[in-house]
Amino acid sequence: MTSGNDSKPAFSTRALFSLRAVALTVIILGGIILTQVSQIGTGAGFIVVGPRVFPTAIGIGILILGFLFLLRTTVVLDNDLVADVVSENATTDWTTTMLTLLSLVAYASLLHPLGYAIATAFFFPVIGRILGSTQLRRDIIVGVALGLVIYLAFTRVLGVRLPAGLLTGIL
Amino acid sequence: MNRKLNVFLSLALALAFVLAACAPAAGSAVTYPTETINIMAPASPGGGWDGTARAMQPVIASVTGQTVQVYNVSGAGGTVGLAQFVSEAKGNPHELMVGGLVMVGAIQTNKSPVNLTQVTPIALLTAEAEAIVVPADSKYETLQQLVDDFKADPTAISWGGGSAGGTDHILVGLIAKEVGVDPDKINYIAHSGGGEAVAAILSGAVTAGVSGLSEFTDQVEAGTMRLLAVSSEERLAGVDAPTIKEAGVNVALMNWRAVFGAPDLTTEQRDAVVAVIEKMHDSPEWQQALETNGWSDFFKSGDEFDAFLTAEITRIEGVLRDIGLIE
Amino acid sequence: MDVLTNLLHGFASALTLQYLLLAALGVTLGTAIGVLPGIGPALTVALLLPLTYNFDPTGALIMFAGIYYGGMYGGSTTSILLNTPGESASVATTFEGFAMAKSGRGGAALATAAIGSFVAGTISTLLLTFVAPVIARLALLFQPADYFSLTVLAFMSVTALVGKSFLRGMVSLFIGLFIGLIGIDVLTGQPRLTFGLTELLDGIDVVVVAVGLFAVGEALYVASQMRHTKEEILPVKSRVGMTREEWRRSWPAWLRGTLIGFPFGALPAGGAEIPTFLSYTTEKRLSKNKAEWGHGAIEGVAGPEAANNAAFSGVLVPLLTLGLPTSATAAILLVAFQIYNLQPGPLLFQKSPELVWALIASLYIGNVMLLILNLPLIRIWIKILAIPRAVLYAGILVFGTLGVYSISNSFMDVMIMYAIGVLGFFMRRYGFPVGPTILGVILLPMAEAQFRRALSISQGDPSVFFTRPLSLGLLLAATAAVILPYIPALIARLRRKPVKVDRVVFGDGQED
Repeated sequence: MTSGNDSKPAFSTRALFSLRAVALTVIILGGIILTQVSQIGTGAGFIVVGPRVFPTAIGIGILILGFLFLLRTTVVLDNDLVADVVSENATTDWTTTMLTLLSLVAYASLLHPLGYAIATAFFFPVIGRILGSTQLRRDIIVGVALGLVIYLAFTRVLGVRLPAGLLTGIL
Repeated sequence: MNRKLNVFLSLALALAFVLAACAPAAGSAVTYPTETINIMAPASPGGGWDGTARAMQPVIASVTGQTVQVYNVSGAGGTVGLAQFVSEAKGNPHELMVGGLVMVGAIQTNKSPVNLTQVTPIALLTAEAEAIVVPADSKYETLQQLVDDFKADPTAISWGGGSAGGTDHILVGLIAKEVGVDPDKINYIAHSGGGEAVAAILSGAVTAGVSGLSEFTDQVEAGTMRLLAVSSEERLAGVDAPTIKEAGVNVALMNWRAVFGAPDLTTEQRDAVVAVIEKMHDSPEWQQALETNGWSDFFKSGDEFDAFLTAEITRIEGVLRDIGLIE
Repeated sequence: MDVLTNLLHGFASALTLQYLLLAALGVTLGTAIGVLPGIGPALTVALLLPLTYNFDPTGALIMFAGIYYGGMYGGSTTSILLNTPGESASVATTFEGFAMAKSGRGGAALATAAIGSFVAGTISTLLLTFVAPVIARLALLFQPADYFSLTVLAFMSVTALVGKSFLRGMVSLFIGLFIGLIGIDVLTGQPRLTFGLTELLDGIDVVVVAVGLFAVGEALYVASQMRHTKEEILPVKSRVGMTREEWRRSWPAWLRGTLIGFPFGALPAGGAEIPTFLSYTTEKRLSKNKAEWGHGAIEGVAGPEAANNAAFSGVLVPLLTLGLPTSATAAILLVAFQIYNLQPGPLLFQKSPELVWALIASLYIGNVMLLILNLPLIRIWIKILAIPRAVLYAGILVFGTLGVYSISNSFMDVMIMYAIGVLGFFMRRYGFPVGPTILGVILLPMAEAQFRRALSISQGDPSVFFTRPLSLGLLLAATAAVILPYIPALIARLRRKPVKVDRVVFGDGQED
């Protein structure tokens, strides 16, 4: 459904560029694995197949696959894939993606300092807003309720430790 | 370094203030416990440390009247849990952690950035003997026969046991050292858990099995495995097997388990926690728990435990170096 | 006959009003916790286990069986509706299950999962009742060489998981293998690819990878496409049951899933993941509607779900007869036994027959209870899909974070999950299938450890893989799994007929 009319040259260049970046990332991953292998101790005792064998094989495998994929984005071009990526690019909203990711990281980082209940109460309306919710008041209510109910249910009834944070001694 | 020290000092100072504010007017004695006690089992549910923590839970609750919670932080012979305990429990007497021999070894083999000198030793609780078994249809009837073949052709004897560098591996290393087998020829087949090792022994894949005695008791009783020897200093009551020493190899090893307090406890706090654990140990419920779990009582607290721990760390380090697991 | 008498005694002690209420309570609580995204059966059982302490041993075990079945079913609900598996054994369910939910057939997917779980649970409990000792003895024949060959067979499942491109499928698989390598090497105790992080020493939990790849990856992807896709209300057909056609296609898959799941569960190192993937592959191979795969083929839910449940009863075989816990849930079950001073193992049936038979009877009861409670609930669960997208994904992220955090109380685990989520996002974006990655993470540790163990025990002699009959048989089966799809074309060519190849290539069925 995607091939054909919308593969304008400008878009196609960008798609090709990003696909080659993916291939390079895979190659770099293979390289990292292979350099890390030398850090692995060899172990002690009677060892037939040592701890470095599988990491080496998998590192080489990833390296080869990365080069093959690079070929598919250069010499032997995979046109279907490029078309798919072109149509993806046309609709991708990077701002929203980055905001989602940022708020996730902020949520995890604030779990300890603020405590589970408060961090969740903040996170829920924020991520809801980012993902396009318009009913801020409802989201705040839901967030506060979720945070409190989960916190109380998990710590009191189920005995799971969740960080209390600012509410230490209050809840 | 300096900055760390500063942070530490200011934390300690802050802690002192808080404690001073909280201290009851009556005097220097610390009232303990004043809130829920948390016990970390630095392993997944079902293992020995988890069992120890869960056995402690109701007994401490009944001798103190406070709620006691157990939580698990599994991984890497307890070093993942230890790292978390050191960073998060600092100065809090209501945080306890179970640990033991395996952790001493794991700290070394994993090059753990934190170690047991950073936490506060409270008390040694239990000890369990290791057992050496063979499948029921094995040709080996005594440990002596097994050791003879081990000396003759070391790599032909495969030893199935728990994690590499753990208690089971250490025992095989000690035996090899004692009978003069090159550590590079120890064919030790590590498994991630006792259960996996039991399956490997029952299937006849490995020549012999090494694990905590309790892992094998039922199998031996049911006649699927033969118990060749136990690793205690003296014969165990109710166990029909010689010690390794009696079988002619001068090796003894007990897998001990202990409880530790948070880093940076004051002497008063440490004494208060030790008092609670002593009360726990003296209760009939704890004695009952020891019996049901088949653990030997190995109680040492305070300075006696400190001395034991220091000696054990040196000994284990030596063995691990001998068998080549640490450089 | 002895077995029957014992079983009847078991039922007699389990079938009282009080115990039935406990079973109902267990199933309800299990479903309620298990349905939270990212929280699978093992965690559910671990969380709810303390509640059972309040009852006598029989009552506690009955409630426990209820919690387990409830947790299992709750877990498949989130796999199907939210693409968020709570544990590795329900990953295979997400592939077709979520596709079905997206095309408005979530009700049918949940129904085939529930009824399939019931069918598989009942058949496998029957097997457990009558042939457990025999199976346990057979299972003990497996040695490291055989286990390795078994993983080779399981790796063939990857052919069913790769999508449009074989190359990209392989890249996905290898990324999974890489993730599976991280952590301490079981055999030598050496840390590998941990980049100096203590938190990575124990490896990355499969649940962290699954929730990251599926839930977080999906959430990021939805965020990236948000401005350009309208809020689509997923069509939920009024009918929540299955059509006659869906019944016809489900039941053979349930039976096959059961037959694959039970023996794998019974292997002391088998587990429940491998059979779900094998069942998925088998169903896809046998399916006549290959074009439907990837868009919601009901067999792809029915088979793995049945295999998953059957594997649980299978897991009870080594646990009850040998005392070997072979899955996370079984390890927790072992704890439950030990609380009542029961040591599962070769002597359990002799030492405490009443309890064992009460437990087995309670498995039957829990199974029935699950069906009674959950079939009507499907109506409510599918309403989850009507929740506005923003709120739904916000909720998934909150619960996914909670589930991963509560595995080991670790901030680092949560960050790793998000990082894997980013990986999942890019994989979706550039057309890399995520299935092979999960397969790699699950299979690599077992394949590597057993391969190396086998060679250590044989002192370096590789013939061990071909001289043991079991190992050889499994390797031949794996070879057949690769070659068989080409046979029709081959025969046609031999007969010199013009080849009308059904386009049977690697990764068949999805090249549209």
